[in-house]
Amino acid sequence: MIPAETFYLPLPRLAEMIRTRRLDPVELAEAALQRLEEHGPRLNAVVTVTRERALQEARAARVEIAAGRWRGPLHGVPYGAKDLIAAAGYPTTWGAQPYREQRYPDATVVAKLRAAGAVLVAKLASVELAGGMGYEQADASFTGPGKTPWNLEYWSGGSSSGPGAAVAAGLVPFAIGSETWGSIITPAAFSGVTGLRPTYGRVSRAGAMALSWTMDKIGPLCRTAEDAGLILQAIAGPDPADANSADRPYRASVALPARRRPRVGVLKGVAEGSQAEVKQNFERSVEVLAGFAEIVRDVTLPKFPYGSAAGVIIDAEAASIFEELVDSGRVHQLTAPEDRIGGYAGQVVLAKDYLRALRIRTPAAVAMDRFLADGGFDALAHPTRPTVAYPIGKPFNEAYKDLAGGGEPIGGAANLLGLPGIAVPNGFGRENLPTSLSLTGRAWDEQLLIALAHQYQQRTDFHKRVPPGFG
Amino acid sequence: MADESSALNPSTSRREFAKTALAAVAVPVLAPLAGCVTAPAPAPSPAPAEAATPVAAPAPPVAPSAAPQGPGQQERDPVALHLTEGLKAKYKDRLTDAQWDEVRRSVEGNLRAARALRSFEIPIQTEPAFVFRAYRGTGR
Repeated sequence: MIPAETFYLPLPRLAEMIRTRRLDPVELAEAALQRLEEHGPRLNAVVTVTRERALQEARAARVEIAAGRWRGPLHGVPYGAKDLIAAAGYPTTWGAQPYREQRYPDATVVAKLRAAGAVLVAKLASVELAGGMGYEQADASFTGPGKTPWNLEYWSGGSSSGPGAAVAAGLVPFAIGSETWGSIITPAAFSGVTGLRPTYGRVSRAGAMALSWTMDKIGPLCRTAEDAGLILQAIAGPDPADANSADRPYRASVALPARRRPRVGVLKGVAEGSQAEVKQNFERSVEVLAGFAEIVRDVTLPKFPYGSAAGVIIDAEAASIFEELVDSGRVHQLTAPEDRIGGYAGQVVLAKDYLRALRIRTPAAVAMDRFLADGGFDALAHPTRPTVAYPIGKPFNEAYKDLAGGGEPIGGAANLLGLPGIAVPNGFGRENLPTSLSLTGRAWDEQLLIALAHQYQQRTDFHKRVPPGFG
Repeated sequence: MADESSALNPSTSRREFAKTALAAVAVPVLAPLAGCVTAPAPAPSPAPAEAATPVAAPAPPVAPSAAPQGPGQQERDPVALHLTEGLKAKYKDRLTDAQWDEVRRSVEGNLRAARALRSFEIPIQTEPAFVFRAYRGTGR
């Protein structure tokens, strides 16, 4: 019998137990399958439990490890994949009724994890079409609203709702999610786990549903920053099947730069419009960061229409991707009423407007990189979300009406420009729901972000907390 | 130059944005679901508007902070009207009038975002950030 706390161990410890055969991959997979079947439905976190494949991969891992052929830190470790990432042998539903029966070969990220010896135990819930039709409340998937294990009356975040909830509830040690605009770091925040948004192009998108060809990223949700690096190491690198994937493999390390103190910028007014607890936790986080990094306050981003450009790009690309869905009328099979009509406006985005957005992108990217480089910033710090998780059953815009908003537009900028970011738990707010700290960095600086987040997690224990009832 | 800072940042939903924008005065209010940009009040402000965009994660919510607009400011964007009429012609009675009105407001949001982009000056030489390479296979 494998205790629940095993699923909350950081990957290096889990890996060591597996490598030294104190933990059997088959028993671990069976325990994960049991937890997924027991808790998954309560959280609306699971689309498909991949039992047969899981046991096959786990048995293979057991045999190899027994023979002394340990592949690395993910060997024999169970994981789940957001159900817009294809895995052979099972449907890949994109969280959407019209696509429930489709099947594809392994996505590159799944193939890479298989090569690393990881064991796929579940396809995890996603907001339908990764939120591309403009959902306005949590009940926007045929699996129902994702629930955060911290309070089942609240949302686990989207669009990687299943990966967030499943990792937080200890159903899997890690999961793979995707982000076009906020879809890894939001569920990481609302579910109280660590989430890494890699640089655009670091991880192949082949075999994953496209929402925006030029903005989609794939990355891990997991327990710690160090775990995120180990997973990124396994999934990063060039892929002939994804023309935008870069020849930038990743080598995991939590080492800070030698011979200099890291420098972290705090964006001006970025917590001003946040809930009081979010603001307070952010300020405490900055104090922790100040223990090992130079803090520069009131940093402002170069002025560009980041959000408008990102919005037009997503609208135009999604309109092309889902043109058949809208044209055929099958879009009306979607779960959320607003998603059934959300695809029409995109059909008349003007080509010149899309191209204008693409033209703005390069000067914005150059200006942002110069800003980060000239300022000597290793990262920009900001609250991941201005609020704790939204209540289920209410439209998002009615959840927290007491907020004024504010701060630099880092979310739109980072996603428009493909910059990496990491979100880590940094405390608790209303209803004892988790809050989160984000660090955003220069392109290809995941290692630096992970090292900074690792230092933060060495000094805090929020990432070790277990939701009541799941330990 | 468009500035999407602070008050222009948070948002609720694309449709709610459009509704609120129509009901707002001078203070910029809700952005779309994308949580990107804001739209200042339509006229007479020359500032860039917020985008009405779909996104993957919802944008932070904010309270509507503006008073209702006067009737003169509630005029519908004629371009949005015509684009929506085009959609109606294609998809006919697929949606109710209320739903078509939602679509029109989304189109207005898209056009606002486009205006924000146009208000940002870029040199005429600046090419779009896309990559295309001429292809030649290995065969003769």
